[in-house]
Amino acid sequence: MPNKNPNAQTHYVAALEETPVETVDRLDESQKARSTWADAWDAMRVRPSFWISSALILLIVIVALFPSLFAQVSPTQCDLGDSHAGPEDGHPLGYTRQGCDIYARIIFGTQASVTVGLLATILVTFTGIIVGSLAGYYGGLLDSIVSRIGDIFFAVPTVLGAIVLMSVLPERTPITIALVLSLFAWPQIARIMRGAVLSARNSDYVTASVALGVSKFRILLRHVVPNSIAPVIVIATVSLGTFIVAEATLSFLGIGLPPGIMSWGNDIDAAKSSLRTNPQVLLYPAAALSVTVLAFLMLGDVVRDALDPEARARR
Amino acid sequence: MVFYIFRRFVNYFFLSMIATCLAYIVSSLALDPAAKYYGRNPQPSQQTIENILNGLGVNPDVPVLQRLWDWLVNIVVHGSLGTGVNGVSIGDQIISRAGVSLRLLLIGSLIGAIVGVTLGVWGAVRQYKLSDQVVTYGSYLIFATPTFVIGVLLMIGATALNGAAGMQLITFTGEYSAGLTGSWGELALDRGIHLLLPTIALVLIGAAGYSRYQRSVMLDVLSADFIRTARAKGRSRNSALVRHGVRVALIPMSTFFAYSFGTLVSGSIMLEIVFSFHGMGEFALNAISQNDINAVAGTTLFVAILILFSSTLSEVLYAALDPRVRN
Repeated sequence: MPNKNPNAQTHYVAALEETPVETVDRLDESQKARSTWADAWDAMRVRPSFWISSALILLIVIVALFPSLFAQVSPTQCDLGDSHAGPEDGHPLGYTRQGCDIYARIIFGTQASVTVGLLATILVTFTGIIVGSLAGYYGGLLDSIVSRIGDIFFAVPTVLGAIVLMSVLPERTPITIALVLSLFAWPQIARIMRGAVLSARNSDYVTASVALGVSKFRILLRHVVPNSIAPVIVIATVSLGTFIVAEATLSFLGIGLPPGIMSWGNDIDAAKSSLRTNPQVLLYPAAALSVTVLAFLMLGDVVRDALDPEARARR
Repeated sequence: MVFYIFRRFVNYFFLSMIATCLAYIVSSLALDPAAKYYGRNPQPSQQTIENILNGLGVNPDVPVLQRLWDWLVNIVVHGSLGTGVNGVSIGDQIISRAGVSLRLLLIGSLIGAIVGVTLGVWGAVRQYKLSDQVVTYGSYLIFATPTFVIGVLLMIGATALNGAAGMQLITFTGEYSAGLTGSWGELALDRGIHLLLPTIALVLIGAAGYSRYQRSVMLDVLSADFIRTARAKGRSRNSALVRHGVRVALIPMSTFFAYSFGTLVSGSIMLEIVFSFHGMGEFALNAISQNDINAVAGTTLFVAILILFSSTLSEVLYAALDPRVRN
């Protein structure tokens, strides 16, 4: 094409007036460079849903840590005489079939449910980040193996796999449930991390670090991982919610936490029998669970928008 | 293109087979089929137990890999999935139950996909307007509610509706009314009504996921240059959105269909249990509680084949929508 136009040569370089010198001069090089996270924080803190979800999560964590601050009634001292009794003074949500205080049971059940969610998320995130970044960065045989393992797990629905493993566990505690759930969930995070590392691996800053003589592993640790971690953080926030839901599902099937441990899933399971007469027994713990999961989903949504420059520009 | 799809099919085929073999090994190591005989009073002789276990091909004294090999040979040579602890062939049990599960799963995921894609496109076009916010928070609420709670809530709603109507408007326990006789049409209608609530629940779960994904893909597409070009060359807004926007946005969606199918399978298993359907969900749970290794392996094979077909279908969709893959 340039041959057709004798003046084409001049079009290769932008005219000087198109990049005014003042724009370049205005850059203050002494100022510290702003990180993605600082930009993200600025984008997040103006959104009400960020503050609402954070406040909710903070409240839930405090309830999980210090349940006795919120409920004066004992959740385990139940009187069959109160079976299915309605709300009354000091017992705002009424009683279960066994005559236990519903409100106290929800408050004391928070701990187990949140523990399962948090623990599984931490396990999955760390495994996924380590495996995914090694596979994406070094490639080769390791990458093939990790990708195939991920594909195989993909063919087994998490809940189905968890049902088989849970039913044979000798001891069912929040820790073992978290382990089983994360066993089936880590390939998803690894896959996302791998994709992000793959695209970051060939960036200019990596080439620059290679030129400066930084070792390969150090580049991965200092530059590639911090620049690829954003999508994983988003998925981790969302999966915390799904783990809490999964615990409830397993308990509903009778292969979650043993009845002795108070959790929302167990309370929902116990409410099955009194569904027709007194649906509140089921609705209140289910609502507590939904609000918790919703808070994490909202937070994940805000974080996703904040970390994605295109979404920031669209707002 | 046929070669491309065939290659993907072979790839998925091997993955499903490996997943099934792993499931066989894990369930063989984990489940103890002899346990129920030792608990019996009077206890059968050791020889009897051995004979029963050998007959089922689940004797723990035989190495797992040997048993897996026998199981596979039996499938290939005799087309049989073995016998369950109740003495009935696993293949026959699955065939009688698969229809119940497939009906719910296929109708639910199809309607769910259509509703989800429509809502996603609509939400993207009306981004941050009230209707978009309602759809967004509605789908988050569905995500945040366990499947069985959605099922139970629908049952409570249907009970209230039946109470208000003063008659049995919506029946929802089992797949059909026991002992109902009548014409073919009446029986079909009865089954349809029983299917209504679980299908609604599955549609809600599917639509919640699809609409979120479709919305974000559509938002990326909407800001693309080719939409502006389509408008510039004189296409109306709607025509540009549908012919150029939705078509392109459906390409990544076709991968997501396969990816999310496992979630729908789990969801329909839960719904079958909540609504007391005698489908594959109940079969899987019974299999595990009865230490029935052959049944667990058969269920996994069934799910793996479903996922094999849905993955291949999504590759076909992908190739049909994206001309770049075809060459």
